[in-house]
Formats: sequence, C-alpha cells, structure tokens
Amino acid sequence: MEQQTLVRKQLKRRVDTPYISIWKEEGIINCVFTDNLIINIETAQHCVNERVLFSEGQAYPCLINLRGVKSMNRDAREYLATEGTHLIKAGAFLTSSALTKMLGNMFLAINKPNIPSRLFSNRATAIAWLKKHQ
Amino acid sequence: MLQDDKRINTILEILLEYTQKDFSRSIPVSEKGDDLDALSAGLNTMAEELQAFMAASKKQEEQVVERTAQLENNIRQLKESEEKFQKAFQASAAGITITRISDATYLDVNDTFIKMTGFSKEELINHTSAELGMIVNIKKREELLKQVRQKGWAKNFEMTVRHKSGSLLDILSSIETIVLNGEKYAINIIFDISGRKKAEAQLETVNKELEAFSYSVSHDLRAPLRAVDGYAKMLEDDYAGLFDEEGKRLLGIIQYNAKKMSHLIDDLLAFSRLGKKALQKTKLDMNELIEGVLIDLGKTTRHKAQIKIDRLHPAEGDYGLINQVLVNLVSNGIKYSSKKKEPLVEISSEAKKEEIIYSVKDNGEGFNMKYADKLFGVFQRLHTPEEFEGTGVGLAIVQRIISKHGGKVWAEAEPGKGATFSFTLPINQITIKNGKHRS
Repeated sequence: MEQQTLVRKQLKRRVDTPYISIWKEEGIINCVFTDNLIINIETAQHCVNERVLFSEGQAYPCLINLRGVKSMNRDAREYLATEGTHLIKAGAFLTSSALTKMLGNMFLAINKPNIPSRLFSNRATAIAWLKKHQ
Repeated sequence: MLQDDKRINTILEILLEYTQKDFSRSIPVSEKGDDLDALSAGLNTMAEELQAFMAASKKQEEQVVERTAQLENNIRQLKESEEKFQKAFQASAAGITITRISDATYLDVNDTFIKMTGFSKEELINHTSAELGMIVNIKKREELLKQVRQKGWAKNFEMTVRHKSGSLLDILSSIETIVLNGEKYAINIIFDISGRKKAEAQLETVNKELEAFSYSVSHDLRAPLRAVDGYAKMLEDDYAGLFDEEGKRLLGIIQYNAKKMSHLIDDLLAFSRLGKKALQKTKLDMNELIEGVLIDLGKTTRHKAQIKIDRLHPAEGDYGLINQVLVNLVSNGIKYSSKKKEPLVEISSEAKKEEIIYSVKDNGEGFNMKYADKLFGVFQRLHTPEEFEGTGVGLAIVQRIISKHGGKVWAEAEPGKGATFSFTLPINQITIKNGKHRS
C-alpha cells in the first residue's frame, strides 16, 4: 500500500484502479468509472478514497464521467452526496446514455449533494462550467 | 423488438411485486444503457427510496405508538395522583386549605376545615381569613406569612383563630408552597389543638397543685422529725449510761431512721422545688462540671471505683441542675458497682445532629430491662435498702431536670453486667460550633 502511494506520488498524473481512472487536467480532476460498474458502498468508498489521495489535500472542481456506470444503490448515493464530496469544489456529471442520465438525475434530485453539482451531456460545456468554480 | 417486449414484461412483473411491498428483486439493467435501462434504473432507485421511506414511516409509527402509550400512561398516573390527592384532601383529619399567595384568598378548602371554622365552602372560597374575621393576632399572622414568602414553607406554627361563632380555636399550622399555572399557592395543613392546649393547661395546674402539696408535706414533716432526732440525741447524751445494750441498740435504730427520713425529705423537697424553678441556661463546660462533681463525691463518698472520662462536648443548660444530674448518675454508678472487684464508671458524650448524648456507664449490678420503665418514677427502686442504700428519688430528679431542658433520659442494662444511663441535651448553634473542635 505504501509502495502504491509512493508510485502514485511519483507518477501523479494518473491513477487507474479496477473501478475508476483519475487524472488532473487544467486544474480539474477527471474521474471516469470503469464500464458496467455497479456502485455499492464499498465501490463508492474506494473511488472517493482514491480521488482524495490524488488531490493531496487540495480541493478541485471535478468532472465525473458516469459513462460506465450500470447501477448505483441507495447507500452509495447517500455516501457520495455527503462524505464523498470531500475536496470537491464543484461536481459536473457527464452522461452519455439514457441510463446514465437517469442515474445522474436521480442522484441530484434525491440526494442533493452538498456542493454545486450539475449534469452535462457535453464535456466542453461541463469543463467551462467547472472552470467558474476553480 | 421481441427482446424489448421480454424486458418490458420483466419490468411489469417486478413492478407488480413492488405493489405487494415485495422489494426483493431489482429490475435488471442491460449493458445497452438505453431508454428501457434508464427506466429500469429509475424504477430501481424509486423502489429503494420507497423502501427506505416505508421503513422510516414504520419506525415513526412505532415511535408514535410508544409515545402515545407513554402519554396515556402519564395521563393515567396524573389522574390517579389527582384522585389520591383529592381523597387525601377530603378525608384528612386535618383541615387543609389552598390559598393564592398573591392575595391570600382561598382557592379550595376541605370538609374538616369547614367544620373547624364554621364557615361554608362558598363563604370561604375567593375570600381571605382576614376578611372573614378569623385572624386574632395580626402580628403572628404577618410573622407566618413573612416566613412562607421567604422560605416557601412554615412548620408547626401555633396560632389562635376565630370560629364563625366567635369562639377561639388554637391551631397548629404547617405550610408548603406550590406553583399552579405559574401562580404560587400555599397548601396549609391545620390541626385543631384547642383540646390539647386545654389539657396541657389543666395538667400544668394539677402539677402545680401537686408540687405545692408535696412541698408543704415535706416541709411540715421536718419539724416533728427534727424533734424525734433531737430527743433521741438528748437521750444518747444524757441517759446513755442508764440503757442496757438492747436499749442502746433501739436508740441507734431510732437515730438511723430519723436520718434516713431526713434524707428522704431533702430529696422530696429538691424534687418538688424543681417544678417551680425557672431554668437559668448558660454555656456549660461539661468537663469542668464533671471534674467538680468528682471532687465533691470524693469528699462525701468513699469508693474504690476507677472513673474514666472522655473529652465531653459542651452544652447549654442550668448549671446547678445539670450538676445535680451528674451527681446523681455518677454516684449511682459508683454505688451499684461498689460490690464488684474492679468497679468502673465511664462517662462519655456523643454529638448528634440536633442533640448531644451524655452517658454514664458502670460495670455494676445492672437490672432486668423489663423494669426499665419503673426506674425514673419517685420512690421506685429495683434493689432493697439492704442491697443498696437510697431513697428512690435520684433518677426521678434526673428525669425531671432533663425533661425541663427539652432532653430525654433512658437506661440500658443487663443483670450482673452493669448499666448505662444516658441523657440528651438539645444542641444549639453555639454548642455545635464549640463541640466540633472538642469532639
């Protein structure tokens, strides 16, 4: 684990785990979930932990690509909307299908994250919105 | 298309289960991420939320039921308590009133109070005792009200009030305050002590008469006794030579009994004088007092008893009378232990919350506790004059003195193992203060 952290610090530019890929670009942290991911509380905690480590104590706007997500249960949603927003200044959720759009909409409507959050289907528009929160 | 129909059927099938509150299955989501998947995901989310909502509702419902049961229980207890209070209020042998403190008007009164005062409930409610002319001593009433306002209570306050008929009643009043709807009220518990007062007054008169009688009897007995003793002495001085041995013995018996009767009269006079004597209370250093008593006893009584004295708490009382108590108890201890091989008399004291207990313990003859109640009566003796000399007045004097001081006397003993005589003197602030560093 210590070795992983060391490698992560040395590389810094990108982290890939079985559930999520994380990198920083133009002062924005990009998170992409892996394909067909079922997000439960364990998966959610793993992803948040990775992102927080990557952020190295600094808060960033975050572009979260829901592309690969297949489902997200209630515990995971609640966690992501509260503790899961640590070190996120604003969250732009990028959707690419009717399913991810539905998941995103449900998340925002029901769980109401405690940071500025919006759903986008266009990456450029999402980045433009996030830059306002840098 | 056929595939989609199948997916729709599955969705409908699971939705039907949801309507039966069976949420065990989620609607499957395919890898396509199409509209049907979106619908399925949405429905799954809604089902999860519905389940959580139902669980929360159920919990709330349970809490409501529990809270309702608690409230019902509280109401029932309150009703029971109110009923108990009402019953106690009405059935009490004491008069009870509830008055508003701000204007002293009666809010409620019980039947005993109505009978006690002669006023009807209607006449009393919303009126004050002053309005009804019940107050006899305004100063005393003000004193009582002042204490209630300052302390919130008053206990055993004696007062005289006027009955509706005009006759006077002696009452004993105890007050506690309560708050009802933000307003202060006084609950007053009143006993009619007119009968007791009358009996006390009668008893005092009878006691005074009795004391006067016994004083005059004792006093009048002295003159003939002095004559008997004087003539016996003359016989001894002037005619002893004419008497044979038997005559001398009989003369001796006359002198001995005259002396004995003289002691008896002295004791009786002392006892009857006690009733008349007013207490002159001062602070008493009991250690000094007992030292004086022992010196005096050493001069008048030959004994071999070892006397152990603890450091005694100071007291407040009449110097002469408390001295007499100690003389009587210590000399008794010495007397009743005199036949023991190693007679021992121990004197000690113990401070309690409201009184100090002084004890005189001996290792003498003791007595059977079933006769303990006879000990303090006049002329009551548990031993014959042949066993131990005495007039049977000493302990009666002790009891009268201690009773006059507001204390108690008692004895504990075992035949052959000795006796402990204890008495109490009420404590006051000075005594407590001084007693602490001495104890």
